[in-house]
Amino acid sequence: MNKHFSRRAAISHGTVSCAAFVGSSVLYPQILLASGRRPKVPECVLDGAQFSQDPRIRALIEKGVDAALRQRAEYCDVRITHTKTRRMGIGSRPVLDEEEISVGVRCLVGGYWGFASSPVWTEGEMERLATIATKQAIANGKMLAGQVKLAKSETIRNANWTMPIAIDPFSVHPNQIVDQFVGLLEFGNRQPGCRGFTINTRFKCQDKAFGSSEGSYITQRSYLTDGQIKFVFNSTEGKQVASSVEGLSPAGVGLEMFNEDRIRSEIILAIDKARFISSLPSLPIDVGRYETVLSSSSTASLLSGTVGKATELDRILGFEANATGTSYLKDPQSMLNSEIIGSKDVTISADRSLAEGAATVGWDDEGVAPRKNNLITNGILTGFQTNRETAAWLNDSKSIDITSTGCAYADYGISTPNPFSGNLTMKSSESGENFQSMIESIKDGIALDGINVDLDFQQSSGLASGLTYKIKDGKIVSLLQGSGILFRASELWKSVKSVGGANSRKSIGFEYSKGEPSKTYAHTVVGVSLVTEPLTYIDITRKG
Amino acid sequence: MRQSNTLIDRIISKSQSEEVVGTIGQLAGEDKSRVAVQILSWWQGESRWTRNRINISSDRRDIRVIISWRTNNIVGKGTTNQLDKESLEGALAVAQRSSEIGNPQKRVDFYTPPPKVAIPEPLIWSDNTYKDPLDERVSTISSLCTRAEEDRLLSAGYMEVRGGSMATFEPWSAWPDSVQYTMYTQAQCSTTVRHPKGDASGWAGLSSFDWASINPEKISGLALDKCLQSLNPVAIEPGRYTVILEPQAVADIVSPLMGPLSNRQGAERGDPPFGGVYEPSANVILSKLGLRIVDERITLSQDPSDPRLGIMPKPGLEKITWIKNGVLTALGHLRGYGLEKLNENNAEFPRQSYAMSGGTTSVSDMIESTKRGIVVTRIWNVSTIQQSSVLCTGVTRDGLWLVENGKISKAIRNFRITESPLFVLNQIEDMGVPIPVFNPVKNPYSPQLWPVIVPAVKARDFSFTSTVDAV
Amino acid sequence: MRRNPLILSGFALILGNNIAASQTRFEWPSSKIDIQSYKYWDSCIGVRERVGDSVRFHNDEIADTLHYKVNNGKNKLDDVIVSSTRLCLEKFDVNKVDLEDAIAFHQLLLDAGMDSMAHELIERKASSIGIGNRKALAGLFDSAMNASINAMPVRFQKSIEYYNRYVALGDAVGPSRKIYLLALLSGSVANSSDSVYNRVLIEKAAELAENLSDTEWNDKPGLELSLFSQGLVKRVYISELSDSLLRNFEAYNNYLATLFSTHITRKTNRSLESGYYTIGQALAPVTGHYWIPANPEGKSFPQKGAISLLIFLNRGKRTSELGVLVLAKRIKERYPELQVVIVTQTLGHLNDLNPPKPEQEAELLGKYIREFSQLDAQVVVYDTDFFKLPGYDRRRINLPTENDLAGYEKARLFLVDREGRKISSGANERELEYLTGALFRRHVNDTQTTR
Repeated sequence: MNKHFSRRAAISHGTVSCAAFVGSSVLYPQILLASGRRPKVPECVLDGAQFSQDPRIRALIEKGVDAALRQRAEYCDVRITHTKTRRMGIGSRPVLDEEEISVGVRCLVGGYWGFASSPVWTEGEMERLATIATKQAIANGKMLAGQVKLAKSETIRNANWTMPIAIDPFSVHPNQIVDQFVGLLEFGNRQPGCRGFTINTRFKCQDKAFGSSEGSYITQRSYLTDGQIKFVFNSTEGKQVASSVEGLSPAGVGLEMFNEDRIRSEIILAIDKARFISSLPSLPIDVGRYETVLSSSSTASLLSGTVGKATELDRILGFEANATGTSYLKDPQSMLNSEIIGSKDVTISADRSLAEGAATVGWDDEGVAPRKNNLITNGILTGFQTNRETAAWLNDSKSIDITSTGCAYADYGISTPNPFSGNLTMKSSESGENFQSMIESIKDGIALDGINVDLDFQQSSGLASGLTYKIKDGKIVSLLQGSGILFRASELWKSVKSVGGANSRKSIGFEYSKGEPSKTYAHTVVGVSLVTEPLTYIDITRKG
Repeated sequence: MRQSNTLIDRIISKSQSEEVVGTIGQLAGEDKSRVAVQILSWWQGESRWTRNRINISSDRRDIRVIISWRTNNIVGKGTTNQLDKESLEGALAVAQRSSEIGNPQKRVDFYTPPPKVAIPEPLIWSDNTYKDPLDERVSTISSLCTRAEEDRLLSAGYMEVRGGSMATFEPWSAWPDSVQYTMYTQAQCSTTVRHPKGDASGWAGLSSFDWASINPEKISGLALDKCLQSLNPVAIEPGRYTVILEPQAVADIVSPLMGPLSNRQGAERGDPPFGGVYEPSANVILSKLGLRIVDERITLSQDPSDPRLGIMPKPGLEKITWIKNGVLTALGHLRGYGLEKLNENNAEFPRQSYAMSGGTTSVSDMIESTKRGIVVTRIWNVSTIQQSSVLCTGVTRDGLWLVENGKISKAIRNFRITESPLFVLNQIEDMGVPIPVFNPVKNPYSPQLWPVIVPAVKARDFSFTSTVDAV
Repeated sequence: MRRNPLILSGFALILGNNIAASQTRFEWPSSKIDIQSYKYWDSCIGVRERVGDSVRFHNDEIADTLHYKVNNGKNKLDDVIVSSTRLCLEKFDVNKVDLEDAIAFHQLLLDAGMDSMAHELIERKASSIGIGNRKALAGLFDSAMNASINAMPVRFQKSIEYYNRYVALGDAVGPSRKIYLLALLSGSVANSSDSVYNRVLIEKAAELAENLSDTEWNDKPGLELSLFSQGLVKRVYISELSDSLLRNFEAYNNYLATLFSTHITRKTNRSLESGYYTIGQALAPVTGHYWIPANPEGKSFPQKGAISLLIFLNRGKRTSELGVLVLAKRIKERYPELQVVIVTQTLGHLNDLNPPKPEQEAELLGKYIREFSQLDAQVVVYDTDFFKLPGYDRRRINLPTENDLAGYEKARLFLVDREGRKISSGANERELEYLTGALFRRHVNDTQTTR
């Protein structure tokens, strides 16, 4: 046989074929002997730990800060990122690896920001970026007095943080992950009635260094892992249900997201659910108001869309007025600690130090350590989500000393930072109630499990639709097609009648975009199951 | 492509691209015919203002080098934003590794590469945009802010100028020995003026390759007027109303059609909305090509040689007329489909850029002729909820007024809409002069210029399904 | 690369002091495949497939025929695939495998060359099912038999053993399924050089077919056609077929006609005269507009006096049909005198080429087919008539060629004897090889055959 192997074949199977040769003398020696068409991959230069300790990174940052201060900057910060992204899909696409490094310099002059960024890490470039950034800020202030002030922030002189994850996805050979994914898909496809299992993933690892003219110098390594497993279930009656495995969404974890034991049991649960769905009759919605049970994932979607974004103070102040919109919480001064925006059972906190959170950091992109921030306490608005600039604004207006809640985020060194919502957690009750037990408590109503939420540009009026069950006498009796709830955020949270217990909690990651130019961000929302007063249901495809 | 008179120093030039391609070729050695390279670079000057002050101005730039490695039928990719030899070597290595477990592709190198067809040279570069009008930009914004402040309103907005380049090298293309290089510019300006109490809002915006064609004062004036006219909105019942859609709103509701209009293959498989019936005599599924699908005053086309409609050039990119006088006359498809099914070497390249025919009626004339109707500035966050009829939902934003007896009688609260562009284009009463609207490039790493030119439209029975709180 | 001062103002192409250069380069923590860490045995399916893909993708010869795997699954697996699979699988204790997964695990054990463990697993599964549940047992033996067939030909003995145990379950298994499995088995036997089981299988199949009730046949419309025309007739009787052909054409024809009457006409109401049975039909010369190599004398093909293999490409996507050329090449290697004629037609498009003129398309097609197949074949290209759908549609609709109308439309491949008669139109390699061999040998013995 005229086989022509390249060295790639040998390298890809690495230990597989090499080890195989130990006990066997007849296999293709050309796999071992084939040489040199592949460019040599350089030895590992610096890993994450070294990034944090590399004096050259700190020197670059200091160079940038110094140059900016020399050119009249009142404040300056520098972000340096080195990001690795790996996308993998079985049955759809191969491994796609991407790498970026970049640096951004931000300066404050006369109450105005200036910013410059590029993919070049040299001392000369730091000088250039600092010059351009200050030039931008100075140009901004030629005619009108600036407004930007910064809330106080603790100076972190030299610190490093690494997101605690179990398995670094980049420490495992991608082909090994492929093998394990194929195993998962085979496992899924072996289950009765199942076919078409696909799996898609994205792993991101980012080293980031931050330094400011206030003397902070911080390095951190964070991870973001995301994935989907989809399949089609065919019931014995010939019904088809397109399904996906739960528990896979953006999160601050490593390869352990695909822990094989867990995923296998999730696959079985997803199949059971698909089987249950396929057994239900499917009916059109009878438009009207129904008492509603929300699954924890539905609650999470609603939280992310409404309270999460609406409490971002920059939206309230109008920073996003020309982009993704403002907020229905219009008057932060008078609303704080007095406005009732939910029932007394509703307590929601934001926290960028939440374990395994997609938005979790050691410090935010202004060097501020995140802290738990109660946005809603027993139904009352008790907090906003801020960066140093918006916190300062609140300070002025409330004459109190408020510091940033640590919500600044820039996806890469190339981008300017904007405030985003932290990881959100809805407080569970002591009741021990969950989705199932809540359904059992309803005589005539609807249960929603997994919804998409479409909101207006103030996070107020919304349309949510998804998997909708009709409940009769504590039992799910049918699916409802083409239905959606039409709601107003303020009323929705006030209509919460009972909150599920800790056993109903579920963490879901969401991505959303914001800013000009737009950036994409991910945060985790921990939802619990809820029962609400009757909500309005409509046929979403019916025209007016 | 027109040559620039400005010194190009912020994006990667053609000769620099060739150098990078040369380095990668050296690294690949005897295998260099397996390697394709795409190099994207961009620079942006940006200013964002909010609460009547510029918040931040920035100057940013970045690169993407995408290296593809082909082994037999498999293509693997590696991407970096560094140009040094070691980084390129690393990207090449991951492209090779990625090619080991890829999916096999159809052979494309049969015997001869695809033909050398003409690459059009659309007008997409403007020195006005690239010269970085920072001072002009910030002084304009400052005066806009001053005027808003005088009117006790809050202005927020965003201006951006960009220069970019795209270099492509593919040994299996019709240009196996040369780098195909394109430069483009893009400028945008949009502003939202709000009442401090949050009960009125007005918006206006425009994007173009040419900064000189954007008049920020005019845009700002429009947004300001809209805000002032929007004070004290009242809620009216949702339902079906005659609407006067301003050009931006027309673009918002018509754009969802571009997906189905770009899918001839789907239509000839029978997919709605443009799929048809099985014709047994020829053993084919007929699409709705040749049938009248909308009002006969409607023509929908895209001509890249039109200076207002320049898009990124591709070999064989030509004018397309999807709808002519209401009749479906073309559906987009790739070249492979053209060769195989039509025996013609023409892709009708899918694109999100289009020009819609219009009339001569001004918005004020439309208002005058309306007994009861609604004027819509724009529709935000439009998404398709039913593919078969292109039924969309979204919310109105930044200026909505009730017209009674030929006059704007009051500002009204925003609505959620549930409507299909096909329905709207069948209910046309009147149309204005087509003008460019706001449709800027979003992702600098995937440079797509999608200019849109549409008229204001007056249409019957537009469906507003519920009121929304947002102002 | 030289340093460009222009670039220094913005991007750095190569900069000695660019720290980025030492941070990047995808130097992600070096990793190796740690096969010992695999926790679930089904990850070994990943190993088998990944290694298999890689061997295929990086083998230029196989990669060319990637889309048309002749003899799919019946070839011996590449050694590197077997050894990788085994290396992965060895750590998993076969005795601890969930018996629910027995079939899939059994297949993997076979792919790893661990046959005895594979068989033990089936025995354990069989005893866990128990003799009482005959339906479940039947399913098990059915699957086990299939797995063995698909793995490699040397396992036929085992697969026949499973088959026998399957049949021994009596009423628990349906007769039509039995025949189907027999067809599978026999097809594989036909492809292997092992003909010991041939006669046994034929007898069993005939017996079963005889005993099928009309209801059973009617339950499975089309089954008999596919089984007898594709499976049994063409494969099971292969040695008898070639033996009869070796005697003379008449014997061959009679033999096939009897089979046809026995197994098809009775069940389907199709008669020999209905035109379905076409063996022995005199084939018209193929029509073409372009001949590669040139045919200045206007010779007609198939040529009288030559034994020919006619191959029709173009019934659908041209590229997906090229596998048959690989088959033709192998037969031609054994019988160099075989005249191979490849007939194709213009489609008006050729991959990504500008729509070619018919003569250009013909020339490229001839070049490609002859080079791809490495066959000294006569390529005949028919310039297809077509019409365009009117209006904006403009689609090109191809019309049937004269060759289609002359009776060549039903198959892709025709073996033709020296008298120009159709001997076979099956694309089974082993059968074609036997029959071609018989035709060449017969010529020596007996040239005086009549129809």
